[in-house]
Amino acid sequence: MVGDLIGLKLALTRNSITGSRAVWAWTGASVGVVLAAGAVVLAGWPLRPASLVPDLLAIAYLTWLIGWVVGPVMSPAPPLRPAHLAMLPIPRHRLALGLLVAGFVGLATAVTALLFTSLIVYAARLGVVPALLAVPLAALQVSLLVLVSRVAHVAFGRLARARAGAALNGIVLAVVLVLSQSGWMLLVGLLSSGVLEEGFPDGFSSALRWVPSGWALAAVEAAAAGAWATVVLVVAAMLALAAVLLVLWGTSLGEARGARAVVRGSVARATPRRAPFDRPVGAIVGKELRTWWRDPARSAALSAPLAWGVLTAVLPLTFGAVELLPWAGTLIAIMAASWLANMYSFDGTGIWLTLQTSTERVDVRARQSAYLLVYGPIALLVTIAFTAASGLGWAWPWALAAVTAAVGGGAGLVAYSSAFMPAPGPDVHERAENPAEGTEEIGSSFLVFFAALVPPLPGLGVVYLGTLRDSMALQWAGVLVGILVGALLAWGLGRLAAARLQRTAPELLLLMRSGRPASSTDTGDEELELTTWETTLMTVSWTLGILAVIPQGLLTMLFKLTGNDDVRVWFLAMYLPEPWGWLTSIGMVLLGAYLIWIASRVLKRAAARRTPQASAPERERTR
Amino acid sequence: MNDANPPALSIRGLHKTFGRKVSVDHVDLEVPRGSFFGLVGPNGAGKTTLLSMAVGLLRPDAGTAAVLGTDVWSDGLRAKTHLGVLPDGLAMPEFLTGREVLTFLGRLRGLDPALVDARAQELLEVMDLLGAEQTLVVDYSTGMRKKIGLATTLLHNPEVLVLDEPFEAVDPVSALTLKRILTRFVSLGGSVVLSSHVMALVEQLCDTVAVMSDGVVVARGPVAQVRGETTLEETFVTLVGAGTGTVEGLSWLGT
Repeated sequence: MVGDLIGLKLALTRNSITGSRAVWAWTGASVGVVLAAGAVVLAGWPLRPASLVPDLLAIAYLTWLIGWVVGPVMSPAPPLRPAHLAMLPIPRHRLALGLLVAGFVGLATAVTALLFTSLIVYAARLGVVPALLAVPLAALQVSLLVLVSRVAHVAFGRLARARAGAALNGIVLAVVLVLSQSGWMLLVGLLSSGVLEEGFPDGFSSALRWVPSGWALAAVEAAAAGAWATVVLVVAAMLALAAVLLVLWGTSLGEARGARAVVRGSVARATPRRAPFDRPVGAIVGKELRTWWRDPARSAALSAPLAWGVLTAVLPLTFGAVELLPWAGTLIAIMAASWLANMYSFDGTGIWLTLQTSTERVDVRARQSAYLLVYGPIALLVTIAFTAASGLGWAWPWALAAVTAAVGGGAGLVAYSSAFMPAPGPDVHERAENPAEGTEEIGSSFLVFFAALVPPLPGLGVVYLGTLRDSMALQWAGVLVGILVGALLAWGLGRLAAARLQRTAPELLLLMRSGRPASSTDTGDEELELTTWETTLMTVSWTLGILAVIPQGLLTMLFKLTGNDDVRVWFLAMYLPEPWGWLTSIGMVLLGAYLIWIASRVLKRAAARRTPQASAPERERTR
Repeated sequence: MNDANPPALSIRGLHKTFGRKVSVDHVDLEVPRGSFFGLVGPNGAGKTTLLSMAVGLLRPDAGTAAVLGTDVWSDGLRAKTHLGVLPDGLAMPEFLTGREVLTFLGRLRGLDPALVDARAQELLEVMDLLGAEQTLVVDYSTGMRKKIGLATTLLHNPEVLVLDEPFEAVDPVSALTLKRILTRFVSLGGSVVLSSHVMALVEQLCDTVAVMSDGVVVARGPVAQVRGETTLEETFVTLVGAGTGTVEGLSWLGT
């Protein structure tokens, strides 16, 4: 049976990982291989002090554990779902074991296995016996990670059924985003703390070994020290944990598969007979606010931008920089816009009622109002609190000008992109396994994120002018400009969106219904047929382009402007003497812009190549 | 078309293709006022597509549809005030309770709040949904979803009802209530169009029937005329063609 399951999994993976997803999978695997190989090299490297090597290895293992836990949560459902096999007469424990073994077959496991050869390399430095012991322990540790990952996937899915759990999911997602985008800040903190000269504090080192990811390492070290009792204890703990996880996971397979458990399904008291709002716009705002409060997917949409903005602003505190704190609210507003770039996908086919009541215009306006009511106060309050906490008196007009424009601009952008670049999302009652599951299409979120950076610029420009001229009045005029720009964008883009929705609501409904656009002419976001070469070229130039424009270009300029010339890390421009540093920053922006242009040209060419017939949807979804 | 007494629903040449598949092929259909009209056909015959186009939920490639003489696509607002629609399998405002859905829709349609409140109470009672006052629609069972959908259809007291599979998954007791409501609605001058694959139900309720197969209407007329000497079911199977499989094919089953 195991062989069949592995075959099935490989077939499913082959069919689901194609095009850009394949490129991502292979890119991720390559990066993983490089990192894992780095850990193996590190294991054999004679670092001073000697305690640094196992500690760094333990950190690497912990990172991998976190990756195994959050990775499956963020990716779409695994290819081989237990639900597919639910009706087969196979005992549950055999199925669990079979699925587990099949789960081992994959790129991620291979990379993890490579990582844990570092344990064997390190153990070899400690002696023959530890090295021999390290071989089975490494295998056991890999199995533990895979098991933890399986159980976490089930647990997170179940958590997401309740609002609080979905909010937690959003936070986890935000943490991953923050770590991948500004993890380097932790590195700066690490470098400036002197750890690399003196080694980690003892408490930290032992904490790393208490986490399950460090158990094999602890056992190997105990063996080297001759503490056999400890070795037995640790190995027993690993086996016990594996057994517990296996049982937990096996139990989850036995539940009513595919059926959605009723968890969030009630309100505290019977509905009041009168709604507070009598007019259509009020009715929709009321419905939206209730939905914001009750829908797990929206809880995640609320918690993720909040956590992302706050963490991004707080992280530089590791090296004592408070300059990012006043921007936390603005960051929240920008991420919120990006998250809501496809706001109609939250409701799936629910748009039909809007069509039946001919309330398209009102609907757009009401959703914008709800957006402002939900995110506006949060972004403003965070801005005020964090600016006050930073103690940067000069930052007030800057922060306020930015946040007002970002919130208002966001309300305009979400309406605009939702109407002009809609992507299908699953209907709420069909989000069977994870109610927070949303659309897989993230292209428009990406675009909106960068577009949302623009609205604050005019206001900030005026504030900057005020700073140059030393005019407080001009600086506060910048805040006014921010508010105006925000209001104008919310109104104007909303107007365009409303007009667009009025024309294309039936097409939006069809899109939600069939999961595909109606025809190539009325929506611009359908999947293009790209060759592997084009996908690679686009992915690489897009990624490098953004890296060049933002961190290597704009961010270094910001560092130079704010006098943080000592921040270097991986910023090329910060290592070079002036004027070369500035020239590099500018060059990076230009290079990045060129790369992004290349990426967009690939897309354009593919779009031009596309014929209307080639992209028509195959069939209507009949039930 | 007689402007003084226009048909409840008038479909002229509605046509829709998805890719290369013709889902609805230039269909004409007229539902007279005061009739109980059944649209039957096998899965994939194009019933849902046709009805979606007729009520303004799906843009046709060609053709027009009018409700009581008002074009659904050019004067949608007016046409839709006369129209109550129950689509098959579309989402509701999922995170509202049943009463909240009705109140919300009443406001959207601009009805008087006191009127909406009274009607919502009565509809929930009739649909036997008062016991689920605290349940969100997302957690409704399939039958309950149908019933709340039907309630939204009736809320604004429309003159024409277009119902896609209204009895699917509805329990027998509620179904009986519903049948009574619909029959009374027709006897008072309202018009109902419903699609179904349950022939017995159509035979029992409807006075007029149209049979769809592969995107075209293959038979239409009063129920008695369409079924002739046999039952509607047998006529239906003859019209759309029986499957090629025979009972003898599965000789091992049950041995």
